Order: sequence, then structure tokens, then C-alpha cells
Amino acid sequence: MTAPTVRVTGEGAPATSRLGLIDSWHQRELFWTLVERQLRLRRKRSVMGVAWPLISPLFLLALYGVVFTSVFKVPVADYPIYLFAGLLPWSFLVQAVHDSLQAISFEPDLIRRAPFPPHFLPLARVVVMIFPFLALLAGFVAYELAFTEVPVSVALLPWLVVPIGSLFLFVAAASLLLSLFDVFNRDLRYLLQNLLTVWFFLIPIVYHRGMVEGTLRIVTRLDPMRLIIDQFRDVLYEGRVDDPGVHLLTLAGCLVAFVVALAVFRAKAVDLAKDV
Amino acid sequence: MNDPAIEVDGLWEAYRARGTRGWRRRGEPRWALSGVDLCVSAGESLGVIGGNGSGKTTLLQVLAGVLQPSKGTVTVRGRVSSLVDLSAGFHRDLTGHENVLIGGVLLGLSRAEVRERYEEIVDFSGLSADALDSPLLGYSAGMGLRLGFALVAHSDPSVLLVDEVLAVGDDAFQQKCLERVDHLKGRGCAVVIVSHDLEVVRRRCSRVLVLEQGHPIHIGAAEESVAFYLKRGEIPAGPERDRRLYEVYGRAKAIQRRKGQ
Repeated sequence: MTAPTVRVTGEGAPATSRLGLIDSWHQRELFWTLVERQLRLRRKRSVMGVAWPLISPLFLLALYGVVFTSVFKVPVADYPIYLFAGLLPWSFLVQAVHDSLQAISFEPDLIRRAPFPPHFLPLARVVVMIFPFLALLAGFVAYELAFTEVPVSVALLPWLVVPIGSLFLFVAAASLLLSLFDVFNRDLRYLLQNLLTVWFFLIPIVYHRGMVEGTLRIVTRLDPMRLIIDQFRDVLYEGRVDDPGVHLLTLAGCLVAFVVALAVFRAKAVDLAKDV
Repeated sequence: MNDPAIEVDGLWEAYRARGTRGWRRRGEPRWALSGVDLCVSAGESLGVIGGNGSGKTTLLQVLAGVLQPSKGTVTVRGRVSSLVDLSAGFHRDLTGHENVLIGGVLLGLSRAEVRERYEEIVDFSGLSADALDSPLLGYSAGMGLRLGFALVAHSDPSVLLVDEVLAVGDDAFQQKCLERVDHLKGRGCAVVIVSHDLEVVRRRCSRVLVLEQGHPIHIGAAEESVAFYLKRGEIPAGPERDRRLYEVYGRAKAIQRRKGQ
């Protein structure tokens, strides 16, 4: 029998200043149970279920691969490799953001019933998306090493950890804020797809970064997703990391973004039961 | 050890509607609860009665920790289990089995504890193995309730909150639930029951709180409170009723004025 917990809410409650990502052992179990729940739900009423996130980037690879090598001839060597190194992190962003947008608004039963940290809901959905992303990444690296001439070295692979970390933190931050936004205002449900399409073409994913000129170049330079995608390419396509400082700085920036997003979320996600 | 399981001190809970775009909260706050003071000790059962929209469910949500008090302080000691709506937080696409495992962790059990008690829970619910392996979609309301209550009743709560849900179960199951509630009470669990079934409230609760439009208009022994509530309903609208209302509201109104409403 564990010691009785005392919960005080309202004016007499002790002040909490902690961020409280995961507060206790039980909360850790609760988080993984929510991840499991999400995985189980993905399997229901679906033919491919958990495998769909694997298929979508491969589908885009085939589509853009054909369009940009046979219709528009993009002057990039090993174009499919170049393309996939960018598509992979991008697909993770799109899928995780789409999935977590309604993470809270679609779970009124959970929100109204159990007093659990609401940030677990979007984060669980992001974590679910990590598995197919890592599986594809591993397959891609294996393919590169075995079948291609691309200068990828095993010694450089540990550098992948930095952009992977940046990507997860950035996507988690975005998912937290978007899922909270969706509770109050539904406009993003209609707009998100279009915004993501614009963003997709602003980042040199299908074309080469050298092809961007003028003001657009300045705009895209500060785009965190562009930085992250470039860093994936440094390892997976160029085979060299020229500026490790930028990699680490991006990671630090994404960590700050995540902490800020979590703080905003915890400040605003009070009494969600009244709004969902 | 002698600390009461639930202490509510001057609890006010406000709802404010949002504008059509969902951003700004507009208009005056609507008080779902106004100045509720409560104290429920371990092993005691409190009934809450009142008309629709009188704040009964909001009170349970605050006690469950789902809502934060707008004003006042709420102290709850120990593990709280609540059966606030029929779904019990279950997902319709998941099977009964999956829902029990996940719902148990949401209630505060560890995964190992849920697995340990799984047989017991299933036994109590009386559902067939076949039903447990099919999604909740195909369940009747009563089956969902059976599973939900079985889970809640086996989660070792120190505080049990039950909203108007038992009505869905058949007589035999209701009886079983009420016996289980008595058993939990015997083990020192504080129980709060919200119900329109005055007979259940009168027989099962030691004290009863009567709410009207968020105001705690009466709290006392079960018989007395239920009688009070019934008498209230018998007064037809008119000057006499207004006078009586003012009598009972007097205190609540005074607080309201003091807090600058």
C-alpha cells in the first residue's frame, strides 16, 4: 500500500513552477500506455494499420522521383537519394502534426474523466510516429551502404543523432501547440494541409538548395525545418559534416522551442474539460 | 489518519462561453457552483441531489481533479476513482479487454496491478469472454456500465465518485454495485453519489447535499435532506416560493455580494 497522496487544488494549492514533463513512475507507465493505446487504435478498422506511415514517404519518393527526373530535369546527382533524405524528415513532420492536431479535441472522454497531464495526448501520437520514421531511416541507410555509390560513411552515422533529436523536439513542440489550438479554434483543420504544402515547396526538398535565389533564399535560411533537412542530407547525401556547430546550435534551439511550447501548453491547458 | 478524505472550502466554479471563433471568453461568468463547503470523512457516503443543471456533475469533476476550482480550495486525500459518464473513458474501437487494461492505468493502477485483478474485474462484470474480445461498439449501454463499474470498483479507491450511471444497469447488477459500494465504504473509502434516484440516496448515504443552480441549499442527514428537496419541488412558482427561496438562498446571496458578483 503506497502512502496516501494528497491533492490540493484551487487557492490553497502549493505553487508549482516545475515544467513537469513526466512527474512520477506511474505517469511514465501512463504515458507508455497511451502510446500503446494509440498503436492499437491505428490497427483497428484499417488494412495496413501501423504500416501506413511507412508507405506514405515511399509513395512520395516514387511520385516526385518520376516527376522531377523525367518531366522537370533537376540537375542533382543521385536524385532519388537526395530526395529521400529530405522527404523522410518532412514526412515525419507532416504525419505527426496531422495526427496530433486533434489529439485532444478527439478525446473528450479521456479529458473529462481522468485527471492526467493533457500534454501526454499529443506527445504520445508523436512518439507513435517515431517508430516508422526510424524503421525507414534504418532501411534507407542500409540500402545506401549496400547498393549505392553515395559517399556515406559509417563513421559519420552517429552525427544523425543530432538532426533526429532536433526533428523530434521541433515536431513535438509544434504538435503540443497545434493540438491545444485545435481545442479552441477549428480553422487549422481546414488550413493545415495548404500551409504544409506551401512550406514543403519553400524548403529545398524536391529541388536543390543552390536553385533558390533572391529574397526567398533569406526567408528559407532561418526555417528550422530547412536546417534540419540540410543536416540529414549532410550525413545521408553529402557524406560530410562541415559545420558541426550549426548542427548542435539547431538542436539547442529546438530544445528551447520544446521547453517553451510545453510551458505555454501547461499554462493554457487548464480546465480543458470545459472546452472539448 | 483522521483527516477527512474530502475537504471543500468555499468552492466556486465558473463557466464562461467563448465567442464563435473560439478565442475570447465573452460575457459574464456563469457560476456552476457557488460557495460549496463540504467535508467527507473516510468510510462516509455523501449523496448529492438537485435538478438538471444544478452543478452536481461539475462538483464531481472538481473532486476528480478534472476541473480546477475558480475560487476556493479542494483537498482530496488518496486515490480517486470516478465513474462520471457511462463510457468510463473507454474507446469504442478497442475491445473490452484492451479497455480494461488501459482504463485501469488511467485510474491510477500500475499495469501489473491491472493484470493481477483482470480476472476479478471480468468476474464482477459478468461479461462473457466472447464479449471481452469484441470492440465496445457492439456493447449495450448496460454492458459498458458493467465493465466500467467493475474496473472502478476494483481500483482500491480512497474516494469513489459515482455519477447518475447505475440507472442503466438491471436490478441485479445495481444491487451488486450498491453492495460493492458498501464493501468499499467498510474499508474506509469515502463515497460521493450523484443520483436522481432519491430512494437509493436516502437508503445508501449518511448525509445528502442538495444543490440548486450551484447553490448548496441544504446539507444534512439523508432523510431530512431528501424531505427538504421533495418539499422544495412541491412549492408552486409564485411569491410564496420566492420567499422560501430567499430564505434558503440568503446566505449564498450574501456571499455572492461580498465577493463582488
